[in-house]
Amino acid sequence: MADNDKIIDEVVANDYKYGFTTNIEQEFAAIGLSEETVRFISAKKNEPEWMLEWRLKAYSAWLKMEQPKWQNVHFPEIDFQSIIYYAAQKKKKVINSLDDVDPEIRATYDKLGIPIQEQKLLAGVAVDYVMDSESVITTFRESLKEKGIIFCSISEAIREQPELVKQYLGSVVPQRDNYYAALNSAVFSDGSFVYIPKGVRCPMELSTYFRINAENTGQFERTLIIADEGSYVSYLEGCTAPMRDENQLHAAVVELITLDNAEIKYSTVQNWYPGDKEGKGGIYNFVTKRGMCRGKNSKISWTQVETGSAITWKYPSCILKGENSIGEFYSVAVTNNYQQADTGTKMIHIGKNTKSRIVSKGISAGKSQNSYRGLVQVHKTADNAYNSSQCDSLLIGDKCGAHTFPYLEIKNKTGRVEHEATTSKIGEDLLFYCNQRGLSNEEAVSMIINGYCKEVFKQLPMEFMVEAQKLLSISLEGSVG
Amino acid sequence: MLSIKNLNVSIQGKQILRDFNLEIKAGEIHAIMGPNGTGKSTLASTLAGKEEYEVTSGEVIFNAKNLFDMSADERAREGIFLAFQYPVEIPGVSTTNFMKAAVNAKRKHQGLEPMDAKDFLKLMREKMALVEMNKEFSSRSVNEGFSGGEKKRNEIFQMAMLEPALCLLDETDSGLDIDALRIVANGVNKLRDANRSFLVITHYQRLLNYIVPDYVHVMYGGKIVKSGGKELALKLEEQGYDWIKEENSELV
Amino acid sequence: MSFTENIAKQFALIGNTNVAELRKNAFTAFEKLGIPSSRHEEWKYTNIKTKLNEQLSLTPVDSQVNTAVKNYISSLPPYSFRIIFLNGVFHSELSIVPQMKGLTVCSLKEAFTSNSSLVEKYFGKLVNYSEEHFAALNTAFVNDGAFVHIQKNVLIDEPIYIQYFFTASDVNAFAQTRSLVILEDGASIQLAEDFRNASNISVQYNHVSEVYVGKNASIDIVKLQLEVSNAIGVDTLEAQVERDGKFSAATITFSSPNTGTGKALIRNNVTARLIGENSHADLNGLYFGKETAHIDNHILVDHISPNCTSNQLYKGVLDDESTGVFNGKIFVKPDAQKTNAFQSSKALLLSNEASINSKPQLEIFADDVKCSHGAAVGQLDENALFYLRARGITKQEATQILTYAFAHEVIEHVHSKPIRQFLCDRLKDELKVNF
Repeated sequence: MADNDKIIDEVVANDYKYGFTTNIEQEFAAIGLSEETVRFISAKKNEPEWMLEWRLKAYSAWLKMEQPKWQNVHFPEIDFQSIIYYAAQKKKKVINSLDDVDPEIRATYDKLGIPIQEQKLLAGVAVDYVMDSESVITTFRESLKEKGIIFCSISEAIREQPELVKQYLGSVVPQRDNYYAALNSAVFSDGSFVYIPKGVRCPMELSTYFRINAENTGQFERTLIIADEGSYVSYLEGCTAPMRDENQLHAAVVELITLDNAEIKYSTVQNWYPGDKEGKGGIYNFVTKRGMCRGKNSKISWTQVETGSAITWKYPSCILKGENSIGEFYSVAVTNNYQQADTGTKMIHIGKNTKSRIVSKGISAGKSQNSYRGLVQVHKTADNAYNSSQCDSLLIGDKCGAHTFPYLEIKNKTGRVEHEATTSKIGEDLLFYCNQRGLSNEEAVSMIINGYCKEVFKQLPMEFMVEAQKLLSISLEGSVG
Repeated sequence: MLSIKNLNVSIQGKQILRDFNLEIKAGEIHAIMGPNGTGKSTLASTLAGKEEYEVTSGEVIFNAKNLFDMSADERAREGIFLAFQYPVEIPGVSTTNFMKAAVNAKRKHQGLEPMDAKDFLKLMREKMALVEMNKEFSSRSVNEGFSGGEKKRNEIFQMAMLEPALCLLDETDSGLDIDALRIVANGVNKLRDANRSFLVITHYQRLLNYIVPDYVHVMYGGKIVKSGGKELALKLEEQGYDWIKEENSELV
Repeated sequence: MSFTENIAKQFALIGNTNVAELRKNAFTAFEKLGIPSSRHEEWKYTNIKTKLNEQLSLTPVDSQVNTAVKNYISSLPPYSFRIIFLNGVFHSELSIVPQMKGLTVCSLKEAFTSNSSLVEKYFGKLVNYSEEHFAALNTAFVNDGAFVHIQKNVLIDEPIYIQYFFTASDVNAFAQTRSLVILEDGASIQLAEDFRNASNISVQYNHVSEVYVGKNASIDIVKLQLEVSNAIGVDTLEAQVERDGKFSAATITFSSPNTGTGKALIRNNVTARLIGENSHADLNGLYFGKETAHIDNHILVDHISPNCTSNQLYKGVLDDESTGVFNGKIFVKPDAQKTNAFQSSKALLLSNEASINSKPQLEIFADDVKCSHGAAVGQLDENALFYLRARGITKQEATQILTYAFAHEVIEHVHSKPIRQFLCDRLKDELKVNF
């Protein structure tokens, strides 16, 4: 309750708070996409030859692919030749400590409420800051290194950890997996890399903060997290972008791998610029996120709070290959104004005794469209597999839409799959009850919705839970009369 | 009739019954009491043959046969009846059809012909009267939409229909008001005879005012820690289980 | 000859018929649509293109009444109404059509002349032939079928039994059959459509039913597909329900192993459009898959007006290598406030070679609604099985009894007593339950 009160108090501004731009001198790749662009990015990153080949292979696959049309979102054709695929701070110098970070960039992250100062950081969170195409700095590296944990930008990992990258990059999301994954594989510029060695429990939350700054650029980051046998890591991703009238493309790929008895908990609070009230501008968030439980008794848990982007289109998924492995997906997706979201998950049961759980809460307001799309597959080999799904939608106002598209494909008689979905609105008696206790409609809705999403929020680390609740209130502002 | 020797039972690797021993002779009524979680219901379910209960050692001889050689349905046909603590609802199967299947399964086991439809309905009516069940229940789905008391009455009705040798009553009194308790107890008492034995599992002495036991056992930590006559139940009613827990603190 | 050429040639031979303009439009639409492949989202799990014969013969052939047909007819309960078709051709000598005030039951062919204004008003107006492949084909080619018209406030207690037999002697035959059912305001009727392969070779058919339910009218329709192990059948049922109207449909599919050439493929499309306020749709289905049978139920409830309710209950039991598909959609349009819509789909898998693909969907554009769906796939409840076994019932018999109970819930939704009894008996036979 106290949290809720605080949130309501804090909610004053109706607008996207993170819409400013940062003035730093940047260098860009030439506009458009060609083999030259791919070579340019690879060269900028001082990548080894094998990496360039890997990218070129992805590029040639992408050329032969078509943009998918099946999703329940609508947008004008993207001109891939009008996007800048690389933007980075120009005056680059070797950054050894926080003092070396450009003051403008530091100011940016300060404004975003995530200061780049280790001592001021929320207790025990190591952060990798990525602006446009480059990782700015990664904090707490040294203390993590003592435990054998590698947490760095993916560019650095390609140079420093070629064996791990070669083994795992593309092992969960192959280059030709889908149109946007192929594009990402060709042109990804940076992102985070995490390796947790055998038996190590990562002592702090790891976090990446993604920021789009430059105009006309696309952001294509790539994240790879490997949890070796018996290890554990909790990882959090946050993101914002300036307000611009044009639509900007964000096409990331995240790959997670757990070996025997390992666990990865991956949380996202997605707050890309959603566009203005008339639906102008905003980020196209087309992301491929997939985890592979390779080892027995391993676990991958996705939690996402999606409040931003003009269009969100992503399905954080789990391939449950190891025996007794567990996949989880907890999601809150909020759409307001003209936002469109088509999001959900895939749980692919291959190993015996694998379990998965899906909890999805969709909230549509304004003129938005919110879709849950999910796939549960029980393969012939997956004896005693069990899935339970709960997908709830809440509609606020009569101009929006809520859609539920679950696919259940069961090929094993010992498999058990239970799916439930509901669609409803906030009951008038409930609102009245709150009104009678002195809460305005807006306050009441915010409180009720936070309660509605509680099962998902409680999966988030404490600090981010508060942030997520705040975001939810902000993004729904003005949606109730 | 029933001889349980050094029985050890686990569920999902957790041991519940520890070296449990009990002898029941024909015509006797034994009551088992004890606090929650001491293994009373596990005992009943193990005897009835529920599969997730794993017998790790020990033996149970029922009418000169090894109980563990028989599946749940064979045990039932041999004359073991479990009145469930939580009777299962079976939508779409009427009580009549359900009982017809059960009675005829037992008759077949005994080498008898299936019961004539007319005789069967007569038997149904007779036994329903025993527990004051309205005859409309015969056409309703088994336990579906029944109140707690109706479900328990239905259990005793089925017991009467199947004429078992050994009746296991698993907390049959739970959730019953005083009238329903009387009806259920009367039903049980009418089924008492020199050859039929009962094992009555309960928390409260209340039921034993109606179904007077020959022996009362107190279970704690997976075994019987005290046995006596019906006066033991009265003592428990008065003093609670705390003194039992204190005396046997090493068991938990 | 290519597929398209073959179809075009046959269409040219139809000559001048009623509703010629409509047929032509439907044919043009089909030429564009063709037979769907599994790349089409609505046919994702049902690859009919590879199952249908390449060269389709769409012109009806009048066939001999064989003993299988005769035997089956004599085994039927003594229905007062009986309309018999053989390979899409009406057989009056096998039918029983008593005269009743306010009710017209005849062949569609006859209705084209005797009730031409009604037919022209209603025929082809519900099916979406510009998008539905098989509705387009049927609308273009259908030659005969059943016509049922019931006047204002007329109530008929006896079920009207429409029997479609297929005895194709030609493997390329693709029979096109159709029912047109019109209920005026306040009318009430029960209807059964029975589809049956009465031959020992495989048959192919494509049926369309259009059902108009007037204000405060009510219909209970049962689709029976009880002998379809050797058939490829597509069945499209489109209903439109006006204010206070009630539409209830049950689709019962058994693919028992008899001759088993492994070609059973049944696709049912059921659409209920609730166009008037306070109307109701109750859609139920039960399917038993054996051997390599493939049974696909595609349901759409379209809530267009406010205050309407709908219920869907679909249950499947899949054995051997059979596959089941359930695709149910609840669509709530922006004006359809106060909608209550529920959907439940359950499947039991009895064999490890069997599979089920389920896609229950909600698409909601109005906020003051209560909609939910539940889908479950699994096995029988272990606790219930133990309860039965604790009463001395063998595992096998307990399984049969519980499967019966599982399936019986759907049959309880069939309102017509003789048909419900007939189905109960059939279910007991199927599961070898004897009580």
